[in-house]
Amino acid sequence: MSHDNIKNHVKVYWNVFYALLVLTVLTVVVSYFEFGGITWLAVGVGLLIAGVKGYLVASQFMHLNDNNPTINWTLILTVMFLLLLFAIPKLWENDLVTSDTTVLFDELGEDKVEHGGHH
Amino acid sequence: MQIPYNEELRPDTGLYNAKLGIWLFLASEVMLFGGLFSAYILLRTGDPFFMNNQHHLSVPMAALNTAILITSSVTMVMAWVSLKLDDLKKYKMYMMITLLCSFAFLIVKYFEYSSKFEHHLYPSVDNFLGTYFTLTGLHGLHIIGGMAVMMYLVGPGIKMWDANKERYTNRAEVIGLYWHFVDLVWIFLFPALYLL
Repeated sequence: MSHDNIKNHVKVYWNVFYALLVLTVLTVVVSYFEFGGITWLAVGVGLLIAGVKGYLVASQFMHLNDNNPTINWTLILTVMFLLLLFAIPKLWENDLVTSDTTVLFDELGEDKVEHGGHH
Repeated sequence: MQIPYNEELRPDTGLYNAKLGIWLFLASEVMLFGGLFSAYILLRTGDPFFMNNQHHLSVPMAALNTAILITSSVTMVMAWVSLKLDDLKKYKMYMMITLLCSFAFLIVKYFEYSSKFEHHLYPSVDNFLGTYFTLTGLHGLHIIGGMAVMMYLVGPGIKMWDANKERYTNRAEVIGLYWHFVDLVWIFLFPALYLL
């Protein structure tokens, strides 16, 4: 990398920094929206913003946009295994996993209400 | 015997050895955190009471910590850039800011944890708090590990700069890659645990 090249990179790094800060504020703001009570939409939007932030960090700070084939293929393989891992919970029936005893707090540190989770 | 490819790139991978090493390590880290995220998905979709205690978490503290980590990421990459530009003084300055940020992160985390404990919110209370403490605790350990390496690099490890600039610069790049990964994990932990 030549010196001029590095100077351009420096500009990009600081711009990424500002973008990450703005997106962090956006993540918090968006979390207060109701999205018509649709949970998956709220989760989707939150993860989308996190995804954009993650992409900026990985592509710029971690130099993945240099496109080294060894690193790229290592990561493609990793993502494939990761998706498999994420799919595993969906292989179970949703209602099979509950706490034995889920303790709820009505007030901070007071009045534990026991909800039996036994079948 | 001289260990090859400390500075020069290996022709078949296009990388110096340590860079290939850190990426393989980060791939294994993806699976480590991935397994716990997978547990989070399983518990959240399966346990109807899972999110009941989420409102106890402090969004302002976590948002502050997000900003702190993002700042430390940009100062980390600037530290490496400073070495590339042969400016050791600036490198040290950026590394110190990065270290200060990581300290600040841990201090905020300390206040967060102690306010939970004060209200008897322990990992054993329910699935959510168990997941919260496991994920943030493991992430916190990664912060401490990164700090140890940074302290070595700006401390006794800095002798290498005089002996072999290129190899030392590569070391700074490798700790940077690790640090950005730790930042990246937090970028997903923050919404998953505190917000969504």
